[in-house]
This record gives sequence, C-alpha cells and structure tokens, in this order.
Amino acid sequence: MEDSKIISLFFERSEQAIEELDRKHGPAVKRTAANILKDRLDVEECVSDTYLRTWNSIPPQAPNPLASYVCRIAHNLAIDRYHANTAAKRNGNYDLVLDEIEECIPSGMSVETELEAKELGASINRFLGSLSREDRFLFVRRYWYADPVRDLAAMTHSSPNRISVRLFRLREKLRNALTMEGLLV
Amino acid sequence: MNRELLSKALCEIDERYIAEAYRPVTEAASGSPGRIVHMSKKRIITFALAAALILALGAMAYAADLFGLRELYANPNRGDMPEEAADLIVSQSAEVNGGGWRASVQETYCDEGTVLVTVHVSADASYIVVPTDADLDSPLSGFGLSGEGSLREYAKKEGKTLLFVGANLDREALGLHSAGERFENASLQEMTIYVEGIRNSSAAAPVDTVCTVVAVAWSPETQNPDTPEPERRELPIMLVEGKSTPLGLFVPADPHALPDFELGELRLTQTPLGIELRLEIKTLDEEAARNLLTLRLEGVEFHGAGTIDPNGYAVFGQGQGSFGESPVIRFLDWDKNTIAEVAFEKIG
Repeated sequence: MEDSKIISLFFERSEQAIEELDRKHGPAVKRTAANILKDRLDVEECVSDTYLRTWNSIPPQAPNPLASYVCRIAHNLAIDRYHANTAAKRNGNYDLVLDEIEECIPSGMSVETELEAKELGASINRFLGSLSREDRFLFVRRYWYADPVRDLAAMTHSSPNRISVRLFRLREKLRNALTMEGLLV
Repeated sequence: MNRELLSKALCEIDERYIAEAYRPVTEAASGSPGRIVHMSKKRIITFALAAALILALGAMAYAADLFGLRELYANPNRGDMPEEAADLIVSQSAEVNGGGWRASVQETYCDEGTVLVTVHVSADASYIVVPTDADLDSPLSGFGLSGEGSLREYAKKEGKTLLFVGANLDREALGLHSAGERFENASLQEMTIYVEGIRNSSAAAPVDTVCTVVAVAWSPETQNPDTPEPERRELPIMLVEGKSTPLGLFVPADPHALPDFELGELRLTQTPLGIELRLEIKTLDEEAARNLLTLRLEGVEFHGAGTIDPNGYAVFGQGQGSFGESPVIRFLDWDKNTIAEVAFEKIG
C-alpha cells in the first residue's frame, strides 16, 4: 500500500493503519531499533512505542516520506532507551558506532551541553552536504541507522574491508571539517 | 566526552539525508550478531504527482474555471490536455455536507490507463482548509500567506480550526495501482482537490463508482493530536471510459539485455491522453533491483505517474511522441546513467 493511503488510514483513525504501517515499514523500524538495542524485548517495546507515537502524531502531521519519519521516531526512542539501560544491556554494535564518532572529535573539543550537541549536529549536516551521494549513504547508514559494516558491504556489493577503509576516510574528513570550523573549542 | 550528547548530535542529522539513505527491509531484524539482512523483494518506484501545491491563500477570488479538471491537468512539463481527451471530460453534480463543510465532485475523466477527478471543498469561516499532508510546522510562506511563524501558530493566533481534507477513489473497483492528489486553495475556506489515478487493469472501469472525501477538523488551541475524528462522505461519480487503440505487442531482442533482470512483453497503447507503456519485468537479483530508477522509451516523453515493480510490470502513461517500428528502451540508475539499452521486435 502506498504511504499516502496509509496516512489516509491514520486520518480515518482506522486501526488498519498500524497493520499496514507494520507490513510496509515494520522491518525497517525493527532493524533501526535492533541496531541500537541489544535486548530483543527492548526492541519489541521500542517498536510498539514507535507505532503509538506515530498514531498520536498523525494527524495532524502527514509526514512525507513516511518511512524515514517512523524510522526517526524508532531511532530516537531506541537512543533514549539505550542510554537509560544499564551498562550490561548496552549494545556492542552501537557502542562501536559512538566510539568511531568520538574519535572524529578533534582534541580540545568536547560535547558537554545540549547546545554543543546541536552545534555538532549542524556541522555534521554541513559535512554531509559536501559528500558524494554514495559517501553520504555510507555515513548515514553507519552513524544514524547504525548498520554493521558487513550489512553495508552487502548493500553496496563491496567487501567489509573496503567499507571499513571508506568509513575510516570519511571519519578523517569529518575530523578535518570540524577542525576547520573550529567548533566547540 | 558525554556520549549521550554525542548520540544526540547524530540525532540531528537532517531528515532528507535519513530519507535518502532509507532502504526497505522485508525481514524483521533479529538483532543477533550473525543475522543477514534481506533487502526488499518488491520495490515499487512511484513517481507521485506533485504534492500539495497551494496557491495564494487569502485574497484570491475563486474562479471555477481556474480550477477545472483541464486546467489542473496541464503543467509546464506535459503541456495541455489533448483535445481528444478534453472532449471526454464529464461534468458532475453530486454534493455532500459535513459538519461545517461541503464537498461536491466537479468533473471526471477516465480511460484505460488513467482516472481524473476534481472535488471542490468549502468550509465555514471558522476553518482553514488544508491538505491532508500539510505540515503544521511549515512556514506560512509555504501556504502563500505573508507573515512570520508556522501554519500552526497562524491558526492559533487567528482562532481558526484547521480542516485537513483529502479525496480517495475506489482503488479496487477502478484497478488503481497508484494515485496522487494535488490541492489548490482559492481562499482560506475553499479548496479544489485534483485526484489522478493510474490504473493497472485493462478491465473496463465501472460506470458508477464513488469518490470518498475525508475531512478532519483540528484546533491547535483546544485539541490533542490524537483526538480528531474524521468525517467521511461518499460522492457518487459517473465515468465514461474513453477508447484506447493498441499500438503493438513487442518482445525484447535479448530478454537479458538489462543485467540481473528478465524482460518480457512490451505492450504499447494509444489512449486519449497519450501513449501508455506496460512492460513485463522480473528481477533476478534483488540487490540489482535497488539500482534501477526509471526507463525511457526512445522518441516518447512520458508525463504521467510511472511505476516499476521489479517483479511485475513497469507502467508509464500519457506519453507524447513516436517510437518507430522497433522501440528502444533505456533503463536508468539513480544517478540517471544508462544501465542498458534494449531493442524490441514487434510480434503483434
């Protein structure tokens, strides 16, 4: 079913909207949550919360595209849950994603306030705007969708080694871009 | 370094980049370290109609013929509606009333490949009529209004209730595989909805069917987002299907000329709105299917909505031009580079 029809079902307050949303975008929503959370129960709850939040926001919202809208809800809920969980339940995959991003932050810079996080986010967006479409795809899939390197390799018909090298170069580029901007110093 | 804030910085990544990198998944992610992610087996690329274009809310006087079906069909890309098709437009008269609003179906058009309908919605002065996909947080300028702030803030300031409206056709009865809406405001309380549906069935359209209007009233002042109740009203419409002429049945000289796909029969038909293309297509490699964006038939410009279902049909309509005895189709990737050029031979 097309996204516009699913949104129409939400507007009609039809419970079929959730079924159709789950059928079409559920796997991507689950994957977004599972890339960040380790515990399967956490993932299931995150998906349920995503649907509830979607139900409560449409209407009045009518997001286009719908897919990234629900993935963003799932992503943000998963991040909240990730940080709320005990260290024992943390996900090695997402820890690695944060480790990789942390190494992009030039020495002398820090992210200690909400404002600094927003500024860093704005810098990352400017950096993404300067990349080729393929590099941007890799960066966003790795550092937002938190896809494992092997999945990125499968998606791009490449080897995990090549993807790791490309991601390393992208991190170097980001580090240089942040240094040039002199952000957070 | 505060890792929570670091992840919040990543949450700030722009929506358009998230959407650009989105890929559908058919199987639930298990979360286990060894899982394999399968990409979508069936990916339908839809070139939807231009979304929610709202013109000059406010002072513009309503002129019925400004938003007639023929006028709404025309755009700089595809030009005016062909005269042959314009002759098939049928005026309609059905009207319905909702709570504080009214809707009437204005005109319809139907052929083997396309259904077009215009619906006029008007509401009481306490409302602002907006499309179902209106973003409340969009700046006023996006709605043709001057001033600072968003639509939500404007409605709150003016004490207005927003009336989200849309129109749907009976997809099953008409055999629609895609449909899009375009919204034109004549004033704050008047809107014309233009619905364009692309049919995937060559079966005759029913003479009598309905267009369903959905309206949801929502006040930013008093209501929670999860409380609005929609009103649905059915408008009976009468369709007269225009005749189509087969232009030929073709097969590819090499069914595997498009790497990782198998191509089947190509059927070209002349409808009153132009040439319609239906090509059997089957993917042999799901990953390769992700790379296919669209196709071009040499000598013909398609202007209607087009779809490629990698395990079904590619359907494009409203084409203008000529393709000769042996049509050639070029397949393009997401960077608009040609993946393959395939010649077809006529068999019928």
